[in-house]
Amino acid sequence: MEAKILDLLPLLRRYSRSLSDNTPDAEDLLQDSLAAALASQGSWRGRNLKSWLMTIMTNQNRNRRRRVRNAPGFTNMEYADTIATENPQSDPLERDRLQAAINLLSDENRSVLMLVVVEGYSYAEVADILSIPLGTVMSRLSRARKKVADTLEGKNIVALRKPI
Amino acid sequence: MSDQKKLTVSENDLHAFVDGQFSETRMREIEDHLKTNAEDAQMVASWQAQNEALQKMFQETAEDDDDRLVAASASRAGPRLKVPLQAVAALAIFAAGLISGLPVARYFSTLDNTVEYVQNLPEAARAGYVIYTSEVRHPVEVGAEEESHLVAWLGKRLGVDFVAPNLTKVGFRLVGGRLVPYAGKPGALLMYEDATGERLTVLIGRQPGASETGFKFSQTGDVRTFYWMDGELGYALSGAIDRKNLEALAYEVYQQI
Repeated sequence: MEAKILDLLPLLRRYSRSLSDNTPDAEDLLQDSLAAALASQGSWRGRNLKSWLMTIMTNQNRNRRRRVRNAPGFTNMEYADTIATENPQSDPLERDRLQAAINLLSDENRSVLMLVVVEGYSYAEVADILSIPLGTVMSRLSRARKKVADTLEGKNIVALRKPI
Repeated sequence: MSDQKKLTVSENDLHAFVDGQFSETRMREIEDHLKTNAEDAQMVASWQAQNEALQKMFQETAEDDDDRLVAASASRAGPRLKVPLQAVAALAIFAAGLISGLPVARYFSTLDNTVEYVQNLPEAARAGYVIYTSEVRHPVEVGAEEESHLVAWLGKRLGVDFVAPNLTKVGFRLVGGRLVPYAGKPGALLMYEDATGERLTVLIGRQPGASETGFKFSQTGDVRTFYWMDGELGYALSGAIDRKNLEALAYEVYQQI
């Protein structure tokens, strides 16, 4: 099983990135998820290993983010890590805007969007991974897409102060 | 989302179209629908662009990682990913014990003699090695630049004074250290690195009432560990370097502490 998990590491890493606001968070999430998966090997009932790991990571992410949100005075200081500069083909500003847009999604809507779009799961598979009805997959996907589109188009910019 | 809905196209259908969830027939029907419905077509185009941007963004991060992993393993003795994960599992169990404190803690409460304590050292040491040496951004909690703070802090948590062995004359500098759980109690993990980026870890745990042992050796995959008890303190030096060199380093550590 360990070897199989190692084979899936690139996929798991990608999913952890897609759920996290920045790279250090993604690395932490990946580690937590691997530790959780290995600690609960006994509960893996021969189900599709990849889907099982995706479920674990989704749950770990929800728990982690809940903890972080509940921690008083939490300030995310490493946000600048999401500005990727290694790859000259993509516009770093565009990429940064997209990252900022998905960071605004709720955890639930975000995992559905990433499982469908980035990981390429079918809607039925996503329903299975997240243990939610198909209709809920659809409504979360729809909300996620619209929110990202609105953010990128600047529709949901909220003025913090009223103009004088 | 089946062929029954031939005449109507709902918003859900548009999502499913964008994500390629339909049969070819249904996909073509929706394509036809979009030709005559500009509003839907615009929505679909915007979602398709979003999909592409997301896929591209995370494909790129995956590729960056691959490069990084290749570069990292090339600079080491062997491919690090071949390390078996039992070691990770071991640390996960220790960590679980620390968090839940229940069944695992009961398990460890039976480890009240030196034999069992020391037998578990190599596994925990490998776990620490595998998990933390692969960390690129934060392999340690406290860096070597704060060495006095580091040893004071870890020593306090272990309940014993200790010094971080100095391995510079054999080519390894201290990277730093972190607190790790071992046998249900705080343990210290120190990390060292040579000029090529090869890393070693030293796990130190304390077991009151334990007695001394000789050097023991254990190997799983590429990770080799020398471990021993020196009075109440258990030490385990792990690395992916050859046995002879690791043994010399273990002896150096032993002499200094």
